[in-house]
Amino acid sequence: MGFTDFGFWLALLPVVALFHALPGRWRPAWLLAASLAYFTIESGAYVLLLLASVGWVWAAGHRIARAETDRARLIWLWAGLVPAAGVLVLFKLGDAMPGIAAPLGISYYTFRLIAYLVEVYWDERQLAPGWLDFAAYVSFGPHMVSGPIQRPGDFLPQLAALRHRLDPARIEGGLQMLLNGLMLKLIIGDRLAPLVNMVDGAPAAYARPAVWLAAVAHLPYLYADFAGYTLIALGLGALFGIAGPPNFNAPFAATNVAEYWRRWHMSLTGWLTDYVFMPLRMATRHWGRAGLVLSIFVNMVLVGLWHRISGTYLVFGLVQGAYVAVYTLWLAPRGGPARGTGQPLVALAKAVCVFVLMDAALIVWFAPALPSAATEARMVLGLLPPGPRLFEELPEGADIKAACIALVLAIYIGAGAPGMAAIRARLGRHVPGWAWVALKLLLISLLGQDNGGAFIYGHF
Amino acid sequence: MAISEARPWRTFLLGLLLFWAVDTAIFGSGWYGPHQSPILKTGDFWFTMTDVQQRPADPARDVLVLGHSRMGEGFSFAQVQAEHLGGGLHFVSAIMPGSDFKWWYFQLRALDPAGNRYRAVVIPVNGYLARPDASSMKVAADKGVGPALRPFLALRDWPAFIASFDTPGERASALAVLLFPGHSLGVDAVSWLRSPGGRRAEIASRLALGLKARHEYQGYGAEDLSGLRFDYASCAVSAWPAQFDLFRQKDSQKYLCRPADPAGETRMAEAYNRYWLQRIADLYRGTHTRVIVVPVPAYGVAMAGVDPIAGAPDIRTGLADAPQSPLLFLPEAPFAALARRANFYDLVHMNRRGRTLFTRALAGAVAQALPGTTPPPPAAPPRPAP
Repeated sequence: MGFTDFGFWLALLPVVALFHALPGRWRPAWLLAASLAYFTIESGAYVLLLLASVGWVWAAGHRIARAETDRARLIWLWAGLVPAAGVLVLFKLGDAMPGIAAPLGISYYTFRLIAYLVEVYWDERQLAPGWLDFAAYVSFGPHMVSGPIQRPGDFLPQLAALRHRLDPARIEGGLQMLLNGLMLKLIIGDRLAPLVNMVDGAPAAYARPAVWLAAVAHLPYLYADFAGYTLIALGLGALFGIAGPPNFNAPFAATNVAEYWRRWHMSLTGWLTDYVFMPLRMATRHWGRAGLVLSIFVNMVLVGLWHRISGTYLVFGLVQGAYVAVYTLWLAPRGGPARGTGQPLVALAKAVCVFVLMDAALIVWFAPALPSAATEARMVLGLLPPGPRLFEELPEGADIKAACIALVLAIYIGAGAPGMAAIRARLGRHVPGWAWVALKLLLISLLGQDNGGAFIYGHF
Repeated sequence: MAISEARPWRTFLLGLLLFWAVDTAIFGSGWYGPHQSPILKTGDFWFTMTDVQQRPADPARDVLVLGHSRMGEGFSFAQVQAEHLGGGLHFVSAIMPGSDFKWWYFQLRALDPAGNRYRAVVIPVNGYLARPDASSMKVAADKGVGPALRPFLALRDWPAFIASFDTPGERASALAVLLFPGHSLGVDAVSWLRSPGGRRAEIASRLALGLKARHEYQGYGAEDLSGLRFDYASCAVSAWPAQFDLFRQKDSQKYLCRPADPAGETRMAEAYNRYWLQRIADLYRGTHTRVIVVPVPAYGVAMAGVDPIAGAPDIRTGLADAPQSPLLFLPEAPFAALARRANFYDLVHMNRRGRTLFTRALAGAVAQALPGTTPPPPAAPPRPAP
């Protein structure tokens, strides 16, 4: 039961209504109960694994806070980290084996567990005020499926505040995010999905225009799908009074690859920067450039392998490592990418370059295996003869014209929708809020595609 | 300025209400029906049902024929007329490709609410022994059932329609289709807006034909399954006949291999068939209308995925001899004899030859089953396969 199923929203209604009707002190408990119920519906007995992980990390956190020596603190940190991360690695390895389904959102709740342990290790005042708050943080339902990865220092104070008051402005914003996320996913992302899936399934069978268009569509499709999901998740969180961290900040407006990664999947890259890159960089600071390159590559390979432990994601991570290392070591110090970014045309040209580089890397990200990626790359470059098929198999409603419109819209929104804020402000003065809600619902209903409701990041 | 906790919800609920009102006015009020594309499944169903509803009833002679694509390809209304096969009966088509018992039950609720419009209703079953194909048949039949039936379901049918789905998720989706019908017609509506002139022409052409669009359908050609080579045990195909394009090859795979749980699938199929047959029978219990069940030749070759397992239950048991039952089960042998490679275009649909033989067999059997009609001459036996 996913975010695009009517049944999900139907089931959510009483959950949200009761949450708002309950006295403040009961809200965290209700939130935890609802989150665990959702997890159990989706992943069954794995809820025991989740609870065991929560219990173990909760106990390890307390041990760290009470430890009297640095050595003891370090031992308890690793005692907490190894089982939590080990379970994640086992399931990531298990992705390659048929018949083994990972628990819902294991990548995300494991990262929350690790973040909590490290934060407590760094500063014992970060200890959660109670087991219920901690369990509610780790298992927070709206962010369970695919993030965003919220830090305990951001979540726990908001949870404590729920006991006293709900912020109506946050709820209002949350409802808007829900609708915007559904539009981005169902109207734009799911309109690009048939094109990308069709060509990626058998790239050698398609003519050059189809292969090129699908290759260009990879990044906008991923953006519309994942950013759409994130908006829905953030909106849902806001209905329960929790503001989550943003995941995207106009990534297609980035003028260099390092900036791109500060704008794309921000909660993951921020997490890796704080808990992997920075400690590693500190540890290797005496190695000079080699230490920096190593830190970058470890970080970016983890970005890749976090999705799944496989050859394609390893290559994706290595490619990203190369991008960022080249930029950091050679281009940034010379001011190359930064030069001229004040001029719109120069900035546009650089943003296009970054887009092309990222889109190229996604050929391997989307491919089921490395040989398929190689075939598709050779098809894109014209090194293999074109196939006979074009766009005939696209379903009505996601035909080539509709897909092209969706592609342009995804790029425009991913670039920060320049000019849209002014239009929205002007229209907002004349059009009441309820009319916007009705219009968005009508657009979702009429233009939303039925692709089974799966989110790309739901697999990770 | 501080806002109250209720304001965001009030705004949202007002918007939701406005959306629902607009959606219902356009798509749920019946206004949109005649503007649908008759080429798409939902529109095709709407025009067919409307044609049948508007046709003046002749309860003494009208025989309503329901069914899926096997019936659509197998039974030729034009041939019945040309060869005077009906013994004075009028066969009326409400056949819909991809439909099944659930469709037919609710079609009958809409077409004949008082149970007095037809002399008989013909519905097909894929043989009397339950087959291990429940899941694949159900998936195919549930696809599009909600959007197609929505305009013809009375409010009192909503609970039964929703309850006819198995899982909470499926039931929620069915409710969504009933409450917000615009979503399933979105592709149709956008296509209309993109080419209003083309849509007008499509509709005019369909309206000009009326039920002839179904009755004069010519069906598949003369190609048969003689080129098919596959191994029953391993269900591996070594040669497809030339008329099997990629889509047809892919679609055929589901019939070839034994499912993981054939006994469970068989039990599900039996329960499903008997449940809906019973409900259809209940519609006509105590009326003059007979419900004639025909064991349509369902498969052109023996295949592990669909052949009844040993000890498969007979779906007629307990239904045929129930008191006041309107059900008439036609003898199986004449129809089973048509299930041969020479009579099939693909694995499940009859070709021109099969169509000719099946039409004679079915029209003759119906005329014989209904007293007071003139039975046509006996159907010619099928010639040996070339």
